[in-house]
Amino acid sequence: MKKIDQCRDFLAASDFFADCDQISRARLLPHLKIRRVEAGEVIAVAGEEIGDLFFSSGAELSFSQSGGPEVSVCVCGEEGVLGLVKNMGTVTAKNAGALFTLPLALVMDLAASCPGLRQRASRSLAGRFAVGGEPEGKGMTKAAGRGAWRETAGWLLAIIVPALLLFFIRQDPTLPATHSRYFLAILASVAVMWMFRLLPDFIPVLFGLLAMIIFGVAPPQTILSGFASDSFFMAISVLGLGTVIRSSGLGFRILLLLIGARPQSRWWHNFCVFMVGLVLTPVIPSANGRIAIVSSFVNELLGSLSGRTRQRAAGRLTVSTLAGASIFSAIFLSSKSINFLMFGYLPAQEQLRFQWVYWLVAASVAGVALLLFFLVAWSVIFRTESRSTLCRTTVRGQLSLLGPLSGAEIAALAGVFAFGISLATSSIHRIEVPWIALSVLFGLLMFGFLDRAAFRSSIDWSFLFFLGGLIGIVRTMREVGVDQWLAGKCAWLTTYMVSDLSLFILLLTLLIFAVRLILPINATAVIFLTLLMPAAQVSGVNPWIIGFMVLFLAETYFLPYQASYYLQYCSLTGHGHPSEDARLVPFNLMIIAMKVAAIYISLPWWRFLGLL
Amino acid sequence: MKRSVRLAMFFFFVVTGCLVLWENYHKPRLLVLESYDKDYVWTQEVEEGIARELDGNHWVTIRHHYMRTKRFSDAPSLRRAAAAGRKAVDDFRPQVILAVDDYAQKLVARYYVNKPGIKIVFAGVNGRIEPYGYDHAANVTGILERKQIAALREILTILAGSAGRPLKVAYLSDPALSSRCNVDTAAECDWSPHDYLGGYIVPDFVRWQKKVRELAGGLDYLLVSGYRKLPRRLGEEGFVPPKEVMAWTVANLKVPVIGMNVFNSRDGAMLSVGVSPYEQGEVAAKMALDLLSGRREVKDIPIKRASQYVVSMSESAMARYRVKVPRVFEAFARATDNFYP
Repeated sequence: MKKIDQCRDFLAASDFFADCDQISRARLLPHLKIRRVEAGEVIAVAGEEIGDLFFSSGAELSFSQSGGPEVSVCVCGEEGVLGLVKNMGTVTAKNAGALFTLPLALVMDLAASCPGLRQRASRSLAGRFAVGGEPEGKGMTKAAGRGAWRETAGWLLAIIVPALLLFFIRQDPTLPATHSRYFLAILASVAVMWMFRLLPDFIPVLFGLLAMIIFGVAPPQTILSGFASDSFFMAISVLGLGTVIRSSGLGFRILLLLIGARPQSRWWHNFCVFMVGLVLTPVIPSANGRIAIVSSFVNELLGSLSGRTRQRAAGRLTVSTLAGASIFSAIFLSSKSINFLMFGYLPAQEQLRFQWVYWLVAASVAGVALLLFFLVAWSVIFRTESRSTLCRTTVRGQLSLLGPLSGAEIAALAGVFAFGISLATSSIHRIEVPWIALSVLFGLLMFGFLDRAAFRSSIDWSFLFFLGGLIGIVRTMREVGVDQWLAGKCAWLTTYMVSDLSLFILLLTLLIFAVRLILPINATAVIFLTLLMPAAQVSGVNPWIIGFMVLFLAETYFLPYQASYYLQYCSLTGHGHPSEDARLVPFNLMIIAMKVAAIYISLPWWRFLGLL
Repeated sequence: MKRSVRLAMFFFFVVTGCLVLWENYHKPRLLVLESYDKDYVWTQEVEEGIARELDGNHWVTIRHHYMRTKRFSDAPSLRRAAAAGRKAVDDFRPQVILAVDDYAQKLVARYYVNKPGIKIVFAGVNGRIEPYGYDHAANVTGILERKQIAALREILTILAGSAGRPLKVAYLSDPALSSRCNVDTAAECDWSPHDYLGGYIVPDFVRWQKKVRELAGGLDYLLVSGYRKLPRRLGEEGFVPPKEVMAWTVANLKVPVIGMNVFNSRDGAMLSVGVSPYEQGEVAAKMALDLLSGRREVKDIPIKRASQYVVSMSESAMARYRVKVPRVFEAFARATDNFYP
């Protein structure tokens, strides 16, 4: 095969460039070169400037950092795409073979018009630290075949499953009408697309909406009602406020102030990291956003430690950072975008009841119990007496570099303050939380703290589309009566929901635990919320309780692959993998047990509130 | 951006915000508290009556709360419904609560009797108002739902024309709170010249079937109103679908069934004479608007009794029993969309 053909085939099949259009790939072709390497040849040296990007083609590459383990890689130099100037580690060829090379400057130009390229570079880089996982970049060239099988099977099933479903339910007398059969078939097709990850999450929702409108399953105003729902506007507003807080640097300043407030000890540092994550939870509606703020400090806190001491300190910090920023997500309505979906699934009068404050009140016992369990277990398992190497003067220096509060920080504080005051006085002015949040967003936009570009790029519009679409699908489900039918079909589970809630909690925990082994947090939550919340409503159980349990239990992990923010933490800090500290996996599993216990402890509280 | 522009923007933001808060704080608030769910026919029709009065009154903030006590009426469900209903009142702090049907009074509204700042308008109350403390309350008015026994008696007299003798009727009902009140009311009424054999409340469908078989031989007409809260057997979860209860009753009774709720004919009753749900909704909503606008005080609005009724009929059932009623009844049922094939 000619070299040019090899280069063409590489560009056509490469997953790394999958998000780039064909014109961009064609422009790259003249610059793509093939280089022969010998076994042991050094491709890139740690600390040296990055000039080219390398993709293995026959040659196996290994990446190593000083003191770190060797990791097999298939791409080298992707940190340059992310803006780094120098190599993060040394890359060596393990055997003789060929490499494709591209000038970094060219790829960076391409990344400016193709944001997906940066994400792929970031994912590739993160893969280097996912010890025990597959060599990073393998999927960039060789796993394309496996992905194609999955996708082909997925697309075929997206037709076959609804067709089979229609066949089996064609004469089911318990189904309310023909429209409900169409609804179930469309929902099945959407579910297959999600499960096989055929498309980004929001696109199957678009397909679902479109199909329901065209088949006349319900009036378009019902199908599209999610886009005019309170939940949709609340999500836009809180995501906007979160963007301002995240980009202002306020979180980092708070962390510095806390750390500098007391004599330096590792316990205090861990506690600060944990508390800042917790404090940011209600105001930044993304665990990834919170992790990005807090984890930026982890390497500084590890200071000049080395060897086993460093590993143990890193393990402790991993737990403090991840737990603080993630495990309380279900306690506050505004702490995760998926919470807005649960809010949108609630019937209208329950939405009025579970506004921000009452949501917190209802979830407070679970939150406090989890906090206490966590602090006790954390203090026992990760106890330490050693003093920190972080110098207090360094913290002071950092604070003085930050200078006085910036305009963006003042805006973020003002936004949080206005939101808080409005919530606290809602019994006087009686404006519902979604409209309070929208007023805060209006203020931020009006005063230019959130400009047009940030409004367009920083708010996750694809999630909002996903949210509005799913709320519409659930409302359509109610309209065509499928909620009652599904509740009947899930009677074995809903029976426990009504007659033996304690057993139901255990069953739900096991089911969610099993599903979380293969599906990410949001997909798991969507499936369980969509099935169980309408069933709860039909069975006379308060749907908030079931929704809360799903959110609380789905937000669990014990290995990094199970949560995108865990992977992000590993990528940002270079720490956190279970192999680094044997206590991590058992402790993460223990958090699941703590959550289940916190739910049981909440039962009397929910009875007291009249929810049970 | 210039400082003066920023100040002007800040001024605009604060003034607009204050105006919105002021307006929202002073806007009159009405809470419509429904005992049942919005998919229950009676509730839908009461709501339609309410909407006829309230539509276009944008100066009032209206919120609806459904207690769902028709579907879930066991003790824990009622406790939850009461807590949720009272929280809805406490959160919204309405000037007027429009409480519809008995459970809304029993579980929520009665806790606000003589409470400053809140007035209560009730509708759909079948029983007495004394248990709720409304008889001595200074902040309560409303409209009582009383089964139209007089109208029913007139219809029985018309039907008796063909029989040439007074008719024997009995009343069979499920154990719901409103049904119990109806049975009590029926017992106190004058049925002459007809022979009212009594009211029977049965706890489940098995006993319903047994009672229907017992009554089958000695009746001319069976009166029914509530049969939506009959479990298949006592202690079982869920209720028998109302259409199934009515279908079984019609098939096994051999004499016609007369409904005392207008929607009974939709389930299969030959003829129904029911209190107008529209009147209940309209009258109560008008009272609420009068109170909210300050046009009238509670003391100026006496408690009313239902005065309108609606007739509904099933054409196939009328034909099966070869029963003839004046054509005007059919025309009335058709005009009110209550004539079923």
